[in-house]
Amino acid sequence: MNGQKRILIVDDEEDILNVLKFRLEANNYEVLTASDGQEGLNKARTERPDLLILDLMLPKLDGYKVCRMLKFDEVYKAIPIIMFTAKAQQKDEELGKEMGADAYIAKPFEPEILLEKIRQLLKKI
Amino acid sequence: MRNEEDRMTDCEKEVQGLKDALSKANKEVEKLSRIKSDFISVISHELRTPLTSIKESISLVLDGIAGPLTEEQKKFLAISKNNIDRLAKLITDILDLSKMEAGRITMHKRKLNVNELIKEVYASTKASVEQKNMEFSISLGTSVEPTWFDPDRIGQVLKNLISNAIKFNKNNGKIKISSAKENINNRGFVRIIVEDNGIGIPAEDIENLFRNFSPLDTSMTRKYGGAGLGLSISKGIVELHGGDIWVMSEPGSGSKFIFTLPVYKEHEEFDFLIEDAMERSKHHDIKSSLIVFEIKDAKDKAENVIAEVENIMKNTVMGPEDKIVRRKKEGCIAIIAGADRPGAMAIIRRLKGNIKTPLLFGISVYPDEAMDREELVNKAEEDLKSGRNSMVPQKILLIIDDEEAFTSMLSFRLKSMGFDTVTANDGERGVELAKKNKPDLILLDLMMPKVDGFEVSKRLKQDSDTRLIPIVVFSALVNKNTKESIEQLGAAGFIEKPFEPEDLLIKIEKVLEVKNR
Repeated sequence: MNGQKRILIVDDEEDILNVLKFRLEANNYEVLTASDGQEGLNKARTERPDLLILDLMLPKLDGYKVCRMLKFDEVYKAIPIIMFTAKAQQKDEELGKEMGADAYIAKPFEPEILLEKIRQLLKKI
Repeated sequence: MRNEEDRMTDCEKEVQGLKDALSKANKEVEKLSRIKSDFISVISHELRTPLTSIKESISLVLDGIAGPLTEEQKKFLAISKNNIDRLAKLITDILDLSKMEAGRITMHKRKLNVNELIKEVYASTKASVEQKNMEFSISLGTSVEPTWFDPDRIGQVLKNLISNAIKFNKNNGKIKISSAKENINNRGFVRIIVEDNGIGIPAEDIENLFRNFSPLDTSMTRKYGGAGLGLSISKGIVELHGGDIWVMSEPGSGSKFIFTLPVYKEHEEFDFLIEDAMERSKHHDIKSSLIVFEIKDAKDKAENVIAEVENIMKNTVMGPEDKIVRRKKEGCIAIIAGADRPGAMAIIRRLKGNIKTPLLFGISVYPDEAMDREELVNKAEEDLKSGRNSMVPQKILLIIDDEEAFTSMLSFRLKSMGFDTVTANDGERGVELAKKNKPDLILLDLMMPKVDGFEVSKRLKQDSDTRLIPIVVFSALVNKNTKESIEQLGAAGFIEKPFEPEDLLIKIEKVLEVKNR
């Protein structure tokens, strides 16, 4: 797998999907999007992205569940997951980690921090 | 007589009625406060979501990704972005404040020296103070003792006070943070002062300064913009620590914000020790555990306490393998209970509210995976006997970096995350300390004068004492070559400078987890 890394963004806010897609594409990532938890989970399984950016409050299936279903599955657990939420409460962060999320970014976010986190998670030695 | 009795009953009835009404009203107030806090929590989420799109759209344009910009356009977009950040901060503050009012905020207290925190805050805010051409200094009291506080929250207080001092400064501005030990009514405190030589606060405004949103309608606000909710939140945080915050100010010559943190006597530390043990046990990936209660200096009261503890433990659901072992050694008594983690925590929670005899307590949580139960009991006993402050066996991390400011900052961070640390400021010393302390993990900087990180790593790998200690390497300079060399070194992990402490923690935990397998 050489060249572009693929990132799947799951968020029910279309505006957020659009701006984030633009930002990531400008940084040479290929971007896939999904706007609810079920679609996100399906795409993660069929498309096998290199990384997932996952909102917490999602219709159909919330972010915790999506995260848990991927992280507790041998086949998909290696895909790094960044939890992405506007809730920003310690409790959520802890819960996110228990569900196996690799990182946690609060909304509104600093683009440099998000990009740095993505780079780190994709690098992994 | 009959009348008298009737009157009494009427009277009692009335009192009872009033009591009922009061308790109903109280419940109503509590309910309303909870509804308000939930409401604010939802609203803050709703506000943050559109802010995220706005901020990112502006950032995209501002960063030039969507095409080139003129200087003027950049300037105005930067103004928008700054104000979005301000708004986001305000939303966080409102949420904090409402959680505080509803009693839903917890302080994660650790026993640390506040001087270390001051140094850390100083290092991280220095640039923004000096950017305003202000002088910034610290003066730390040497006799300041470690005490229990939440480093993130008290850090937030310090940052709030510093940002106010910046905001209300004038020419030749100066900010000074100092700490000192003091005694009030036989109770020890640490006193922290954030002092400036700015515009000061008029006497009539001081009274309202720490009230929510109070600055909004004063003359100062009209001139300088509000201080927001920072002071109300700071007051809440300090009070949740059992301290006090106040201000002394003279218009035209500056302000002194002073706050105190209580220093607890040993027998008052039980609650904190328990919280602390729980926090630390998180780093051990404990599935089942052993709790040791050490009751020091307890010859006469010991039996009572043991009875108390045993009673509580008996009434707490434990796993089939769990047992209570009591051992007495040289005036030290250890009560040992094995339990799965949730069970152990349940025991701890119950103990917390129920131990009545004030004694000196130690508490340990031992991971119960590497050793069998008997071995564990022996180990706990050994720790007790050797007088090792048997709080919790902590993981020891050795930090090797030539930048002293960096090692002390990192060491503080890691300590506040529940690790024990040893630091070395050159490679030679690093190797020495690795042999001496047998750390669980070594954090190693690559670029160091004389003996560099590569050399340190080589020497450690050659020595049978230190060969197996995992090394996490960090460096600011990374290219393909360094990466390859790092891989050849057999480092267990790598992190690029600058990094977020959080990321380092994740890396450390991962490495320790692998090592424990």
